[in-house]
Amino acid sequence: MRHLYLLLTILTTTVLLNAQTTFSGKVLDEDGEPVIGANVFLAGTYDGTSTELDGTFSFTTPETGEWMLTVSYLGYENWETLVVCDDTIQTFTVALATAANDLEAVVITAGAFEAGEGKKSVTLNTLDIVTTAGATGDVVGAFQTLPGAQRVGEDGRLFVRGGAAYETKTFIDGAYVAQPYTSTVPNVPARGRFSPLLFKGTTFSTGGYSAAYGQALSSALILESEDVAEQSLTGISLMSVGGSLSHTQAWDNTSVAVAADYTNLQPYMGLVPQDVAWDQAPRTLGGQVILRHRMTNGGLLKFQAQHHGSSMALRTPNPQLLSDTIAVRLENDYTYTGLSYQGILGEDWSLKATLAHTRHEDRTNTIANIRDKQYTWTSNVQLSRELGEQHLVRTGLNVIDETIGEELTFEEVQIDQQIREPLLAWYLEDDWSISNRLVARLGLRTEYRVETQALSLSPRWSVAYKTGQHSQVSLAGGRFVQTPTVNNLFQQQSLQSEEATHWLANWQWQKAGRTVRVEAYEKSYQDLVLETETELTNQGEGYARGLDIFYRDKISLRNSDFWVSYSYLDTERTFGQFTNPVQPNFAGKHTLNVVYKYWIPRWESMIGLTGVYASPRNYFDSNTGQLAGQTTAFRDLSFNWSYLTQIKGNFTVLHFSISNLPGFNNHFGEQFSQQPAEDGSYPSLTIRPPAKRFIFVGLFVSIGEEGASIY
Amino acid sequence: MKNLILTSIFFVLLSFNLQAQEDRFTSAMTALITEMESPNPNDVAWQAITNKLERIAAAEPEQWLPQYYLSYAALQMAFREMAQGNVASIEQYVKVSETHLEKAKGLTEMNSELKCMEGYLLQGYIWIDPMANGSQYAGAAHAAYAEAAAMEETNPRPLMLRGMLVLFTPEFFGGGAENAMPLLQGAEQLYALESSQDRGMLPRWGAGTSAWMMNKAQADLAAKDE
Repeated sequence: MRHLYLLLTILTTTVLLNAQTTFSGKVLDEDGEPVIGANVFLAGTYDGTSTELDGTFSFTTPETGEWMLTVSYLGYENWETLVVCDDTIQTFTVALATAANDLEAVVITAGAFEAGEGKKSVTLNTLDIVTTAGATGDVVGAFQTLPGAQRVGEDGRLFVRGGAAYETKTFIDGAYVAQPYTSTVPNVPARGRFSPLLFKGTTFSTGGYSAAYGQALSSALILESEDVAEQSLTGISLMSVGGSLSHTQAWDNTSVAVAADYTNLQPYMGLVPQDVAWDQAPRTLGGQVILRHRMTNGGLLKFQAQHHGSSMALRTPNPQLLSDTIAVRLENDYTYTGLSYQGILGEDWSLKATLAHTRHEDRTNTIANIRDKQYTWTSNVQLSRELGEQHLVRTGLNVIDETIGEELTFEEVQIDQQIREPLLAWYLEDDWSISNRLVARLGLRTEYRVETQALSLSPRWSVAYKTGQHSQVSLAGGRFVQTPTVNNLFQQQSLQSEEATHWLANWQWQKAGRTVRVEAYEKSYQDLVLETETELTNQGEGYARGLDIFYRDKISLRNSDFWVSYSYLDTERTFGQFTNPVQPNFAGKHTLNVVYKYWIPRWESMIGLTGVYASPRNYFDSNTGQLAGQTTAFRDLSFNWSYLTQIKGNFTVLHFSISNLPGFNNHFGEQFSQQPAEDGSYPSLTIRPPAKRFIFVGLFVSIGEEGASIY
Repeated sequence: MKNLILTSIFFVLLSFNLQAQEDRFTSAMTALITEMESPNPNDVAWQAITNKLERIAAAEPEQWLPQYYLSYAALQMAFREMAQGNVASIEQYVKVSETHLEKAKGLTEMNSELKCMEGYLLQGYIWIDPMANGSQYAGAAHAAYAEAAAMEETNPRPLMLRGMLVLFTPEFFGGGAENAMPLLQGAEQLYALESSQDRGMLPRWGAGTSAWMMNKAQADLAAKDE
């Protein structure tokens, strides 16, 4: 009898097909709009349909019993309900909820401009950096076109939101890098030392950054080195200022890259008249080795070493008496060695560890002979894991051990100083996804400075709330602490650390190729180093507030990509010798950058134009004893042209660039004689760029497998 | 005796039932493959095909072909979004394609069609941002097609897709019609061979695209000679 029952069951379900249950209804999104083409079905059967143009659906099924009625649509969470197929007509109104997928997820954006593959908030990638006119292939030059950065033409380093250059720190794979700029003499701008081609991702944070980064009052430039190279490649560069050779050999899980480069500005400076009396134009010889290995457990091991030696010699006005000149010769040796590992530890933890050493030595020969040495060990060990579905916690330890020395020989006098500045830091941070629309990052950084035995606590926080499909608002803030500069420490190592507090509010809108960002900030400074007649104190203070606006558009104009950034800055501080609040000499009120790139398919060329306007800055006037002079506004219009072609089947770029096309007369203030003239006034000389324009021609050839290029 | 008869009928019906289930899979898949092959299905048609594939995939969790075709269909959608300039949507579909390809790989041994889809997926990543991603993924895509071709020498899709990659790569990167032509010609021959075979539910897509690209390549070469 049991068999008969089974038989009947099979017959009724598979043969007779007499039961017909109908499901119908409508599928709507969160705003009550119909969803077209949504998949409505009984999971586990073939029965179902797609919603019509008005969101309605209707289908019948011969199935009986309990099934899961499911509605799915890309970008939305699945909707499910248990139904009983009982030969009836059943009607449903389905409201789909937006999925919390990675693509549209809310991310913390306050303060940071992120760039790199896989990042949603891509702002500048490697290709963007090397094609930005006026940046001459320099990471720093490219980031100077973003809002928040000030233009200090005679210096070349990054000055952010009213902060001095020393307030911006560079980090590679989480560890701080000492001396990230080339060594130079006063009024000849420096460049970044690290090639943009070394990094897969960069974050330029102009404030309110994570507790993982310390010792920077204003800004963090965070660089993440490339992973194992996929392709073997040889690169040859021939430039008007030198050349380089590189080779990368790639195996399945390992790659080795070696490179050598030589630059010498002598031939170029012989052709193009310079305002600087060079005895020997700047030249650099260097090389690097990079090893990367993917281990069988998925861990990634990287080793990078680079060494550069540079020198230059010139005749410069004698600071004592400007009518006289003195010879200055500068030689620099720089070695960076970094070892890093990232991988999974056990079931849940992921580990990132970096150990880096920099050795930096400047030898200046002039009236006196000065030898500046800086040896820095830095390390970062970070552990992170997810806690439940809502939390990602990370904790890390930084150890920095810096030794700085100066030997000065002047006639019979010899001064030899050396100080050591060890620092320990520990941080704990939680990324908390409160809902699909709301995330928060709460962090705490503790630093212990061995010299002063001072323990500092730096809380950091940011929250981001998604206000729409494409827009979000963020708020961030925190406390930032930094050891005083080397020069100050030499005079008085007992100085306390300087301090800043940040408050930021940010709105961002981003949709298919267009980005708008507006950010307002308020920053206050405490404990800045101030000179009194007898000693240095920590009594300086100040503020910086302003508004940064950024717009980037890759799609509105055909074959074009452009961005516009504007910064408004209001800042004053008491610092150095200035005991009354002043707008520092490195801060300008308005900065406007317009970067435009146009791809011309017919010519296989990319042309770029970058326009800059930065309002006048103050400079120190010895005759008034005040920061009362005014530089000219900084104006620049740079042009570049990259022609892409093949030489014997190898991808080749011919690159031409010129700065200051219209020939603006920018000057950066006056240099005053330290000795007054007979009438008691201080004579001065105008500080100008070393040359009005810089012209560059380069040929870059990539030799490798199909589709290979150095970019 | 009665019991024996009943038992026999039961087993006959049971096997009939299983057979019906397999027939149902085959006929549903075959119908869908025909729909996919029809000239120029529009967006609505692709969405409907995708939905049907999803239903089959959910009901037949052991079968790799529904996942494979879902991966393919998502890339076709990505291609359409690229043609319409919807950059953000391309990425969405490429990620969906990747998810299905991973599932398909988990259900069967690596084969020429899956390897080939790996390469096509990398091309999808190039569509998201050709300038930035082109050099990063092109080499790996070429390698995947080479492997796919080695696994099954008569498979026309690796050659056809390689032809696509080269045809739409700028000349200075080693692309263009002249370099694509030999690949497309090779693909054409293999498609002619494939069309004479009964492939069942196995992939046979791409002949139309191949012919269209051949026309384009010839037009490009003619324009260059002028």
